[in-house]
Amino acid sequence: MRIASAAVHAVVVPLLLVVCALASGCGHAPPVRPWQREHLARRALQFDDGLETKFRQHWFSSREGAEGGFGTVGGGCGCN
Amino acid sequence: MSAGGRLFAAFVALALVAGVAAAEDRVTVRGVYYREASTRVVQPVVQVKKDLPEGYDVTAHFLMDAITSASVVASPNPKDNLFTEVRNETGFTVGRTFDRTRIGLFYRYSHEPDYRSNTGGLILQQGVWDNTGSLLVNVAAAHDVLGAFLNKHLNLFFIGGAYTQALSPTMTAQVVYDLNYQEGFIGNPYYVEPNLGHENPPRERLRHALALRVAKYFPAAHLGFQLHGRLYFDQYPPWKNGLDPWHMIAETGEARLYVMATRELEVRLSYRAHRQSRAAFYCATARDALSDCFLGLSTYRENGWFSADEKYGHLTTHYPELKLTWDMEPLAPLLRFLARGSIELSYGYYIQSTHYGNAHVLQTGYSLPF
Repeated sequence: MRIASAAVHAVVVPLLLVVCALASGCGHAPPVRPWQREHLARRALQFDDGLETKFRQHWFSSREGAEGGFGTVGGGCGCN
Repeated sequence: MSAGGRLFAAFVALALVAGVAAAEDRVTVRGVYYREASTRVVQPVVQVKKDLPEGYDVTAHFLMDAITSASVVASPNPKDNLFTEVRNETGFTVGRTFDRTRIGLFYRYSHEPDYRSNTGGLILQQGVWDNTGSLLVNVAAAHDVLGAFLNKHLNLFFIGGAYTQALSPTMTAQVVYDLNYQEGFIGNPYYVEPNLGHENPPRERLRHALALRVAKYFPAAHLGFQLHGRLYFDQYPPWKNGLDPWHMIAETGEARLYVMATRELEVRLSYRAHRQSRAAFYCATARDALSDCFLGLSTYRENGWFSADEKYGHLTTHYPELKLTWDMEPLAPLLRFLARGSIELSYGYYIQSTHYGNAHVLQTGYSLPF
């Protein structure tokens, strides 16, 4: 019960919003043409901070019980 | 060789790997200083990415964690007993790109006096929908040995998938799901619960993490924002019978604001919040009644499962941070090719509800394309 409630609040509702946004453009051409991509390289539109993300994974997994959500494996240290 | 000497040697080796110039190649040096009431961490790291002919690419990194902790020595005149432990980690990835597909293999080795870890895996990336979307699948396995006599084992099997999509020229979104299975000693061999002795955590765990991220940039205002959300829960493997000793649920959210203060200077303000419920086997008799513990409920081990490690208890954390990233182009007359890089500096304050107390986190880095 707690899992279902937390899932609805934290992930499922925003996920549905993104699915709707995707669906609104999915039936036609890709949403961004090559000549429209100048801003996509900006840090503000990137989710992978490289070494910063790696450090955060390591740090938070040593102080918090949760881990993951980056698509890459963490761990590998005495912080399980 | 000393730890500093090893770091310097690794830097030189990586610099040699980076001999030939190419557009996407990059060397990054970072440093972290983390300070809690009883713990200090200094972590220098260097990473080199290099494109090779015929679609190959290679990434290598080396990092060192110097962790200094204080423990109060029980005596008529209590005093701090400081000890420092050094962890070295090195890893590499070799990949090859075919049109819109990239396949990579990676390996990572981490070494501490009482912890050794070997991790290897496969990465598959696929560009989709005219390369406006990217699907990443990561499969990995790890084997760790730990303890004062390196006689405890932990195996890990991981599969993660991430899908990133450009929704418009100024908006991107990402969905991630990770599944992580652990088997072996999932704990700390040194933790002792005052009334129960050395902790005895369950020997298997399934971890689920589902994350969603959205980013938007406003070109006219020179600012952007990101929202990150993650739901985590873990469980005892469903193919096992009996009560679930894990059942920890966590919610994590983060908001980031990016402002281009000048053409070269980016300011990032972020705030992260995390809360989690306790694992069912968490038991700290100094605060909880012994009857609240999982001990009497366990049917698997004679003594039952328990841990007083606060990481398994109910907790909340908050983390506000300020980060500056400066593209060093204006210094080109002075620094020549080094001015093609960018430098970053950040400070954050980690607020914890646990006995560890709050922490200062200072990070700096320099990244140079070559």
